[in-house]
Amino acid sequence: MEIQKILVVDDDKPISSYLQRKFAKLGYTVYVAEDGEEAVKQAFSNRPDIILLDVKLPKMNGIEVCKQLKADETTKSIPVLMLSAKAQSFEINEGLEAGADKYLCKPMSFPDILGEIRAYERK
Amino acid sequence: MKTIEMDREEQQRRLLQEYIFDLEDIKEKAEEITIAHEKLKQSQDLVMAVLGSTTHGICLIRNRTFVWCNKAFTDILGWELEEIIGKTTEMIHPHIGEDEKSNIIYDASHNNKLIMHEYDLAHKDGSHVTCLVTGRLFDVKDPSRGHVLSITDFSERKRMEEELRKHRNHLEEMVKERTAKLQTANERLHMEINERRHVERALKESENWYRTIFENTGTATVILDENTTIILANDEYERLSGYTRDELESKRSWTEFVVKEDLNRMMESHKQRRIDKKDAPKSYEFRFRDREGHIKNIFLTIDMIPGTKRSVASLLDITERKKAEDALRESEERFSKAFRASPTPTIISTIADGHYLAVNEQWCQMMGYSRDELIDHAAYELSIWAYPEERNALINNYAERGFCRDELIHLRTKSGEIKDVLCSAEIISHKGENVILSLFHDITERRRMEEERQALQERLYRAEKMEALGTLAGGVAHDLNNVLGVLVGYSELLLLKMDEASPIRRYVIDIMKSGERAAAIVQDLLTLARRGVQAEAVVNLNTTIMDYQKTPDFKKLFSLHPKVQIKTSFETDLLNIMGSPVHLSKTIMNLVSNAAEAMPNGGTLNIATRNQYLDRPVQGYDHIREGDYVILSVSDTGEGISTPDMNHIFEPFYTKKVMGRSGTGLGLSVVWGTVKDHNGYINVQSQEGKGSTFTLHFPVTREEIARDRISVPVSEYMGHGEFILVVDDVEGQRELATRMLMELNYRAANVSSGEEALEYLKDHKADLIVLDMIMDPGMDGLDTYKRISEIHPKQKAIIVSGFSETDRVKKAQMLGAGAYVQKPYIMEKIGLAVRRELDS
Repeated sequence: MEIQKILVVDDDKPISSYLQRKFAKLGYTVYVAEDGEEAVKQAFSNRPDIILLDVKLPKMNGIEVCKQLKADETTKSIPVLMLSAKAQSFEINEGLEAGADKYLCKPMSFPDILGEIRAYERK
Repeated sequence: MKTIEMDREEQQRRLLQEYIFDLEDIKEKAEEITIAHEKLKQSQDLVMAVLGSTTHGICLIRNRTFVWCNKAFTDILGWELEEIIGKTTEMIHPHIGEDEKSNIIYDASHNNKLIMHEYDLAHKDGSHVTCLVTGRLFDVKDPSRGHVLSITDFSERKRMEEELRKHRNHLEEMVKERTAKLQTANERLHMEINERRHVERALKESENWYRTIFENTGTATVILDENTTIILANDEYERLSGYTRDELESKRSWTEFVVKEDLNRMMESHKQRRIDKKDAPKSYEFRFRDREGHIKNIFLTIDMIPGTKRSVASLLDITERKKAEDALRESEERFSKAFRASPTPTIISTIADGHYLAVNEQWCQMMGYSRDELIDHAAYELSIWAYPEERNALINNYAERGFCRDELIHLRTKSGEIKDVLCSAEIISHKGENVILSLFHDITERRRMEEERQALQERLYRAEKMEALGTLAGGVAHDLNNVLGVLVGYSELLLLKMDEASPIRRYVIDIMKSGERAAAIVQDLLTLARRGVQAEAVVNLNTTIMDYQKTPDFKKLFSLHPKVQIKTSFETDLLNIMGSPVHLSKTIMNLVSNAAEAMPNGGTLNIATRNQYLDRPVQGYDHIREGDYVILSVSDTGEGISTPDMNHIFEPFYTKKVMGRSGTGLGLSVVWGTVKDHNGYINVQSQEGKGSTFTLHFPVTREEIARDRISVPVSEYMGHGEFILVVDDVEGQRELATRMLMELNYRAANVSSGEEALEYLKDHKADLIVLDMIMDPGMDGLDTYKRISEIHPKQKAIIVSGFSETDRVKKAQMLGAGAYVQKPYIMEKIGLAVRRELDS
């Protein structure tokens, strides 16, 4: 699949802006959401090709965001990569049960994250 | 415990994530800087390589001091690098670096242009090197960073150039010399060849050639010799001149065909052309005379035949064309003259948008614009059409019929006045374009005069109508008055005689009251007839209005119209007028009650007085003359009066009210009569649905108001048994007067005519005669009195009448008759008059 639009969801400003800058440099269109509700809204309005989703978020957490997106016909096909500092196995399970396509544990280097994205591009 | 640990781990992971990203970021930036640095170095090396290898000397100076220079710079001037850096620029040239306008640095810093000068710069060995020096700011935004100078050694090149030029010149001269010689020889050869060929060809072809051209030009053509002889002529010329070729060729001079007046001019050209053909006209017009002596207008084209003294001339007969042209020009002149001089305002304008192409003086005068303000401007720009839709209608007219005649339109002049204008227009062709020629007829003045005349006629008609109605009403009133006199008089007498407790007393009172009301109506009629109003008292209208406001009539009126609000505005120093208080009061009453009744749903009733001086006549409902006036206006906010009604409102019985419910149908007629009797004027303004205003103008008087007369007690006019003779043709009146007088303690007798009175007085003597003025048939009061005076000079008499025949009454009074008493008889009135006359 072709990936052009990436939605980055993280309430940690240094992280989200770094990711935005790096992806943009590589030619991707990047949208940033800083809370769960905003993430859902943007997922519907911008129709990203892939979503990088933090779990601990204000207003609505990543688990809930993922559940909602996966429940809707129009958004359920968008791959959701959870990127979280929560690394306990039950937490990982919770994320995957909510429908996440991949659960990544912070910390991760940018090349690793890019690698995950590329993996989807090759599919 | 476990939870806390988990949280800490999560926290650490998050922080680590940030560190990693930060680190990545820094690494990336470091790489970018390294790359940039590399690039910069490469670029610098390149610049240095270029600067080092160029033959142009380049240096950087700051504060007139050399900061840096390249190898070429030191090479050109002979200095070592170390000897230059740090030194001032003066060492190479005194003018480089000074702050003068002529100096290169100054120019460079002030204009930021590449400046080029040629300077002789000082070489280390003391010699001078001529250099082309250019200068420019190192940094345009910051002049303090110094200047870059570039010098190019010019001396070598200059010397080389000089040598080269010398060398080249020499060579060129040599070549030129040789070429010239060759060319001359060549030209000569060419000429010889050409000439030979030319002559050959000319000999061979000229005859045929010219003939052919000659016969085929289609115009009359001749070839002329220097001595003006016609050498050759073609068919066309034969036709034009009327001679055959044989008669012409070598036999006649063209001068024979030129009219005398044109000959000199043509001979001049003929000679001139042979001296230098450029100085003679190639074509001109002249008048040609043919064999028969007919004059023709000819357009002539002439040229020399190359290499000869002969000329060839073509003649074009333009007589017809010239005639047409003249006719056209004359016609155009005539039109133009007519257009300008026409007393009718006339314009020419475009069809599409009404641009003025031409206007005459009359149009300018009519519209108040100057010609310049109009030409090339469109009517719409100047808002000349008062109603632009009229123009559209006219344009449609043109489209359908091509013209219009006497259409009424409205135009706005420069001053804004709207003029009524009749327009006649036609589409004509002007310079190949269809335009509109329009003639106008200003009928504004005529219309205004017509309207004025109509208004005048209407007023006259109205006045005549009122006069006629007045006469009619007067006649009716006279007869009725006599009838009423009996009614009122006898009921009054009856009441005097009747027992206070009588049961029929109230009937008599009713009869008397009805009679009095009827008498009031008759009084109105008399007012209308304008015989009975004596405008002799000095009246102040403010007082009259205030008195009226205190009357029961007034109070009753406004209890019937509770929704009507009354406002008054009185001029404090209102001037007096001469008038009849009774009639004025009635006038106010009529106007106020009309106003109140015009507002069944309520409204505001305004009564106002003011002084006004009119310095010129006012055209309104009435034509009001100039003068001092007291103005009484009564206005309402009621129903208003419709335009058709407006012309009739003052006519008696022209009422909109339900007859009998209120009023007598005479209200406004009385107002009209009263105002006319006071030499006043009426103006009415009304708008349907908005209300009406009646404005009355009364001429002022400067007389002061007399003190109120104290009412006279009955004892003052009781009789002392004097003998009175009553003369009246109406029996009832006669009887009534007699009885009243007897009631007042007089002795009285009566007769029914003047003749009887004379007969009676032959053997009787009367202390006083009560004489009716109008008696029919037989003598009237005046004649009777004249005859009585003959028998009994200084016979005392008073005159009574239904209305005042003032002229005859006054004549009688001049003969000696006393007071005039207006009917109906009222005991106090007649008693007082009789008493005073007897006592006089």
